[in-house]
Amino acid sequence: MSSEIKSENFLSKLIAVLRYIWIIIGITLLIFLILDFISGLLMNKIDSVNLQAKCDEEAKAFNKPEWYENYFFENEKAMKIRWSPYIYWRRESFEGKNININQKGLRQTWNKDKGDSAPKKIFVFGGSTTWGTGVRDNYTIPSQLSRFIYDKTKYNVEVTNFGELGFVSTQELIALIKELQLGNVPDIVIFYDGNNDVYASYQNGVPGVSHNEFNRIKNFNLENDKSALYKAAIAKAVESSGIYRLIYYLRGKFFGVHIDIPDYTSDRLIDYTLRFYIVNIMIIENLGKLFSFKTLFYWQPNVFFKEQLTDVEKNRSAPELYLKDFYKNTYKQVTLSSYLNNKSNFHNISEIFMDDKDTIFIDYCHLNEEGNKVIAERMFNDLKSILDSENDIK
Amino acid sequence: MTKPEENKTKTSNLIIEKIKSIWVIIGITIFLIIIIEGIASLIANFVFVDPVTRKYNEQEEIFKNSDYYKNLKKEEMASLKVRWDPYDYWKRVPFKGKYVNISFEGIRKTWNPVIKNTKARPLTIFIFGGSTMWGTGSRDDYTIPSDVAKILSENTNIDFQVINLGEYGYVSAQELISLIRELQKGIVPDIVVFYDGINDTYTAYQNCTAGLSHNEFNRVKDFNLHQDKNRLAENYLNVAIKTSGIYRVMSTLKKTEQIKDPACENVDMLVDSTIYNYLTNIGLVEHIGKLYGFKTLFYWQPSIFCKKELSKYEQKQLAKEKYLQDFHDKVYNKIKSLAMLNSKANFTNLSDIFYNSKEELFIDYSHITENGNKAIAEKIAEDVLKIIKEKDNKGK
Repeated sequence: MSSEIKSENFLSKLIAVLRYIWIIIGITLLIFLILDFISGLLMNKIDSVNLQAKCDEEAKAFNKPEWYENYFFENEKAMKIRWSPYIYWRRESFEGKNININQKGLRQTWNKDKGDSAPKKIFVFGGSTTWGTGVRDNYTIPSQLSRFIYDKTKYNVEVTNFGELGFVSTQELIALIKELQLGNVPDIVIFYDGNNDVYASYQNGVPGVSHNEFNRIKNFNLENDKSALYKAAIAKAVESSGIYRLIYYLRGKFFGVHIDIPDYTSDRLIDYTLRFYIVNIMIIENLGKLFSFKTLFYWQPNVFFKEQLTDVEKNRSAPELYLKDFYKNTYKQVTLSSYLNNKSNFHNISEIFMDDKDTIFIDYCHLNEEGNKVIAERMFNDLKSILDSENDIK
Repeated sequence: MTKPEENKTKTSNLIIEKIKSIWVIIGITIFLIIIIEGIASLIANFVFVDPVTRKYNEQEEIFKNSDYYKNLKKEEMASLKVRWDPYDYWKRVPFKGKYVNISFEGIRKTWNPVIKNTKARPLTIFIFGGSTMWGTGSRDDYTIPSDVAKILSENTNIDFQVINLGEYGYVSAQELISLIRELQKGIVPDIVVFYDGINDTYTAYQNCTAGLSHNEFNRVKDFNLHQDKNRLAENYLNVAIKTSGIYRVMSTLKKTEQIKDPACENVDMLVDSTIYNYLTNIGLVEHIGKLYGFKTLFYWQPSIFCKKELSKYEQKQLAKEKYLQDFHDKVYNKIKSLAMLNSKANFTNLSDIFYNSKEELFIDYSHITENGNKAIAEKIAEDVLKIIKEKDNKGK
């Protein structure tokens, strides 16, 4: 009997202890949630103040164009991307004053139909420089190219901007193949590359892959992997919690932010980066023969190929200065490539702004609207002779 | 303490006590769920057989006379693991076994003869396709590429190597991208073989869009998943529920049949775009071939729906995929009727190769036995030999 009483006592004591622990857990959780909520609110406020400050700073650097603030916040919203088969991503559709993206994920291009004949299709491929980061719809390279053709020739054309954030030439080649598979065949294609091919190689230490290819590796089949999902969900929940964001912010404020810079600078990587690019343009040219379209290729400029940098350019390209040597070495190989330089449809325009004294670059690779105009005019000159020669054949 | 103050304290004490009780009840509920889940998991582990194991267990029937199947089955199941591969999505991880061997690059081992002249580059033959080409259900030395290599070695003296670039689930678009990736690396073949049909047809049906990969919706789900807190939580919950013991026991009891019909709109248009997509891909491969100077051969593969005389086992396999037959027949019949495709010297429609065969050849609706592989390899090798002879004559 006494042993029964003893075990009953033990059990009720155990339950009481468990109940007590459980209540302490509850109170701790509650305090944590309240703290996290407050930190989250604080960080949201800090983020929005910082974003406005960033916008003001950029607007000031670019001589305060009246459209810039609207563009800046539209761009923030238009950054959302979705999966696109084989080329990984395209932007979600977006409607704004300065940025418009259609259902296919393509940025709006200025086009005017001359109406006398079916317009010739001109596809322009490239990365965010072609897409038009930092500029309005009507001032992207494809839009300005379309305007040059409209203003200075009799030809009726429709220019489509296939540029996309971070795209490398392999993604562009596949994007072109996808259009051909759909029966959407162009008359002329333009490829404007260089920066992303070089950067992606440097970032991944492997040529030909996309920007942040490691994200594709991390995410592959993740939705079926319970333990990987669990780890990722916990890590992300911690990372996006108010408390973590606040600690991270304060750490950055007081101790600075450390960025891991990869160190892939081998000559072999440079050779392979170029080799991949050359194979891509060879295949594109050959597709041109099969589908009867003409091809133009441009190796683009960046801030490392401008001698006279303005203060704005110096400041805004400073974070990417570590890339300078790799870019310079790869670009040197491009200049030395007899294959590329013997091609009449390949144009190395990396030094097009070499002696320019004005602000052209808004960061290490993106151009302002004036810069885009110079590139578009350069393309127009090459394109005009193609359009003229096709017209002569008729 | 005044009375209203006393009442206030009483009310707040009551509220605190209530919250405590609710919190304790939550704790007890979680505790009970954990216990039930533990028991259900134990039961499910005894009762529940995962679909892959079930499929392999079923296949034992067709392999009843082979002494290697148990080993092959074990190795195949262990080698199903895939990793991300840029642009063409996946390749298998390296594997070493008795019958299944996969290289570091994710390429299955192919039987190849010893190279006689090691100083010269051997004639290189790339063979692309899906799992039928990879060789699901076959040993390394009895896949289609291995059989092609054996036939070639019996009929020619030149040095050559056959490379099996077949991969689980690949469609022709993935194969085209794989080929481009090889060329980018500077690896240029002399002959390229594409063996397609089933995967291009199935994926068009599965995604209601032509040209996409198997389970393209998984790519959509995976995309940037790591960066999205809400989607991560949602996906984790989904997987946690589906792999829980309670869910597994309940679904075993319910025995719900998976509905595979995606009910695509405008099927005729889908059939046309499936074929147009395939034609564009082989057109691109051909032109890339002209650029690089390699020859191309294209084959449209057979399926269980193209066999008249079916064994009981094969009938069972066909019944399982019956839902696909209508769409499959539309695509396959259209392929047969396309004069411009069938008149191409480098295209061969092998879909009816087993039409009158009485032999049990299909392991499931698409994969074939080693005997089946041999019959396909004979056709391919015949064409490859013609090309080799032509090259030889030109050389002379």
